[in-house]
Amino acid sequence: MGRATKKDQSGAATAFITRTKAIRRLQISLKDFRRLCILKGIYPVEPRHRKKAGKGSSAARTYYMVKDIQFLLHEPLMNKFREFKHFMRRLKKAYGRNNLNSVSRIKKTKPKYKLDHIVKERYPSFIDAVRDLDDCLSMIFLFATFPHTNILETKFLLMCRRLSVEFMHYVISSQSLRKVFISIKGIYYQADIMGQTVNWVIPHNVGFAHPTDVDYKIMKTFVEFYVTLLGFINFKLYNTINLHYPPKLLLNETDNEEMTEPVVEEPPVGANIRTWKKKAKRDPVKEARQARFVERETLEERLSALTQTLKTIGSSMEEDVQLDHFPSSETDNPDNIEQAKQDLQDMMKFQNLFKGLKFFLNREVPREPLVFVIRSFGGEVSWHESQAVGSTYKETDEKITHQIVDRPSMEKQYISRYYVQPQWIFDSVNAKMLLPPADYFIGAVLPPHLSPFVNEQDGDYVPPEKQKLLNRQRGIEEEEGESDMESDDGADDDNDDDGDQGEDAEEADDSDDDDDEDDDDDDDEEDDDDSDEEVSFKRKGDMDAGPSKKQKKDVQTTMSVEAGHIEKDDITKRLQHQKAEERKLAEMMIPKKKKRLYNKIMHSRKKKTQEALKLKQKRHEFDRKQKMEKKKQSAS
Amino acid sequence: MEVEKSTKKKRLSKNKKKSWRKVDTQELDDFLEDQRLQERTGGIIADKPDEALFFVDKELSEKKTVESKPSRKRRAQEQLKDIEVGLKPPPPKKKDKRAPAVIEKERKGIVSVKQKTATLQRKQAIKERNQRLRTKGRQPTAQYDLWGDEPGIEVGDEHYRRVTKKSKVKAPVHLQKLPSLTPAVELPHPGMSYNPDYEEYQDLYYKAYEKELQKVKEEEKIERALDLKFPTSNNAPTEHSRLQEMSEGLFHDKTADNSDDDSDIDDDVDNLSVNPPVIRDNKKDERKRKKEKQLKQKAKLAEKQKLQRMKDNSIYRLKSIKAEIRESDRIKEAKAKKKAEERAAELYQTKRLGHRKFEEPDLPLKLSDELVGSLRELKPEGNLIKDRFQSYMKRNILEPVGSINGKKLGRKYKRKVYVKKSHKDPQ
Repeated sequence: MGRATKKDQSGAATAFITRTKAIRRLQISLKDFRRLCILKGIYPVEPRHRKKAGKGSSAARTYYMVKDIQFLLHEPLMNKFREFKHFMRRLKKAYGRNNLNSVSRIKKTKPKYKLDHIVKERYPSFIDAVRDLDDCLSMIFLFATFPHTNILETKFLLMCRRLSVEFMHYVISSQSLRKVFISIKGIYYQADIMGQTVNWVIPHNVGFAHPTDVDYKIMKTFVEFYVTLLGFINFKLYNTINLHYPPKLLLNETDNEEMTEPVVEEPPVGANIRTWKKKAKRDPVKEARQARFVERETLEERLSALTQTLKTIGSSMEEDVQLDHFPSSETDNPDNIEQAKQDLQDMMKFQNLFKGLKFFLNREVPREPLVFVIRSFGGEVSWHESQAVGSTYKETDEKITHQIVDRPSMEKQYISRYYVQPQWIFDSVNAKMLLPPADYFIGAVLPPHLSPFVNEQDGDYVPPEKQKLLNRQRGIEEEEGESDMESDDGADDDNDDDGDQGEDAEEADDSDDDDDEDDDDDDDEEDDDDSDEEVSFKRKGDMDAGPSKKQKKDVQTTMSVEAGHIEKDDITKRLQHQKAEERKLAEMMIPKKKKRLYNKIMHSRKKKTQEALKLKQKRHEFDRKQKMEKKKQSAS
Repeated sequence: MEVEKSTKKKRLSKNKKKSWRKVDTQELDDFLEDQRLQERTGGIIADKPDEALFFVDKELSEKKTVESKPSRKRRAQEQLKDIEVGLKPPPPKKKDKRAPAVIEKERKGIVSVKQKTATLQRKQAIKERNQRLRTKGRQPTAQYDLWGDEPGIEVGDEHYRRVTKKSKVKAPVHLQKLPSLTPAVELPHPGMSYNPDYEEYQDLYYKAYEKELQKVKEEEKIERALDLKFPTSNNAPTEHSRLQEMSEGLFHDKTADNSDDDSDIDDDVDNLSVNPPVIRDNKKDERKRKKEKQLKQKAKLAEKQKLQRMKDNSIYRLKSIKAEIRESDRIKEAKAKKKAEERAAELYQTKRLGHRKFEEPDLPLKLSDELVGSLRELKPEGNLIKDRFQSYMKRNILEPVGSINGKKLGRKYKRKVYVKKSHKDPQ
């Protein structure tokens, strides 16, 4: 017979602890406890059985793990908090006694703490820290825009600003920006940092609204940790691409080391040192300090302009990244290597999207996001010198290729450059190619700004604008689409349109039927579909027959020898083709047992396409109606 | 003539001629006098052009600063001071205690190596100090590689290290896990673009609409369950109103004839009993009881025997038993699978971390007439700091604080403000 077990001596009752009890155990105030928890990354938990954890009470309380609290007990920061408490007590007392001498003396002994060890503890490896960068970046970029209040000191906010600028410089120099999206909330960025996808959001540049339902003290504690974290991350990131940290500009006219150095005179040899010292005391220390401030400020401003490249450590020679050469016979899949090569090429092309282009920003466009994006893709950018520090060339520069404007019209326009709206930049980046600027000209009604974060599965509805874009990316010239558009203009062509849609529908069905064909237990519709297919093919055949006949005639009339041309090996196309073939083969190899599941999936996909088709038709109808209305308006 | 000016304006009723004379016309008289004077001495100034009044002073007029002569007393004091200085003995000459050779060297201008290094060092020190001062404000937060090989920092509690001789406190394993798998920066719905596509915007709009609808439904449900069920004392039904409602449609006229009949029937009903009357035969005697007991025992035995028989025969239905076991296993497995799925989904959910429940904030949405389609004219929707704050709550990092939509955060009750009697304005 063992000893009788007592209630609440094991299990959930001892694993969890309420917040009040935790505070009592740690002997700190609630404020400090919250700060400590945020800094150490210890979060409240929800016990699975609340009644067991609450020793009979099932009230919803804030619970922590007992082990976490024990871990907190060993935190050296706790001592610092206590020291700070005593410091505050002394200071208050001195103020109370109106003893300003001791106030100034005590103020100098303000205890400071560092969070380095906590960063290391929470993120044992660098890549862990990079993976968790989303929160950090969003908060720091946000705080960098805040005005100072009694909770947020200027120094702190400036630090946020500096770190955010440093990070942007890194993204620019490493060309790691991938996507941009302007939402009504803010601007979303996506970058690829050390192989990790990092998203962050920055606010639009408008006046600061002070929401009252946010606890700024809590938020500040988060940012306090993030400042340390981002500092170390920036240090490491700068080191990985051989940049100076803290950043230095490549072209620094006022070389900060020499220029503002107060000239130190040597004592004239033989003179009495004492008298010399007295003379030296009159040296313009104040002037030097002023110069120092000016210099520091200009450096920071020029850095935050983002227009200049940073100084590298050692040789600044650009290295061409060479892919390791694997003989294709040795690897198991030679296609992979080809694919990788192709991807690398595409990526290089994408990263230098704006290379060789010169931009000029009008003053009404959001400067910083645009400069950041343009510079990340290798473009050059400037603005009017009266607007901000760091403009590199003037509006009159003839080499400017694009001017970014966001006003309905401009009086003086240069012929040598495009006047485009800012959305052109963002859309081009998301499309990974330079879009034709005609759609974005000054005063034009812009095409919708599509989200780059949506990846449509095949069968999903794709908006026509996106489809156009996708086609463009694949290099398909869309004469058909344009002709369709033209035909839409006439309101009489309704029948034709319907016909087109019908065809589209059938085509969509076709692709699905191909998958179904191997199936034994077919739907009843199969036969119908087949017949439809034939009809459609016939129709197509008829359509094709026209031009081909003409061509034949041409061939008959003019007999000539044409110069042969080299057959282009389009790798992407070939790989796609290969993939499709492989897929078909794989489909054939599906065992009967799993065939049903596969068919189910395909069926659902088919349903989806049908839905998409419906949406497409709806959109078509909408567009047509709008066009009609426009026509009516223009007529009247 | 001086008229006494009183600070207070005299209040006079002007309906009598007598009081008219008491009006002070001094100002008016002054003005008119001034006007007349101007006319006499060359025209009214206000009408004249600027050129007639002003001229450009092109000559430099030297200001003569009048040096105030020091007073006699002051002069005497200064003279005294001079005398005093003259009377003071000169300060004693300090004897140069250095070796005569060194003095000679200095006089000749020969600098020793020590002096040279000293000046160099001084120079360096000044330079360093200046550098330090200059970069004081922009010291980077990071000055070394935190994740590098060199140990830049000491981790952990010093007392712990000394007592236990261990390098650091072991952190609980679960601290490395994220409290929620919801991404920190949730990617926006495509309809939230500042210049959205038509369908995507419609989709977002529909989502927001459905959410709002759900909210309204819930509110209505609460109202039905609480407000309507527990009306206020004004609206609450009284005995009278209840009776009226219950008897609705029963009586066409309010004549009290029928009510008498009703009361008669009621009396009869009151006297009636539901149970059958007890008669003497109902009482059990001992024989009867014994018999009942016997029968009960017999039935029990039969049941037991039947069970035994079934047990004995179950060997013949092994196959079906196996099937049963398989079936139960299958059910168990399915349950476990479902539970595992639920657990996996839990990682994305917001947990209950305090007495408040987390409310999902509203979707940021601009109505179609607010969408301008131009970056310049865009008015942002929502607030990012609020968004971040709510994201922390959603991801189980913070316990829900305050209300999400609208209400203020902070003190529950307003602080009372008192003015101490000693500080009160005596009035």
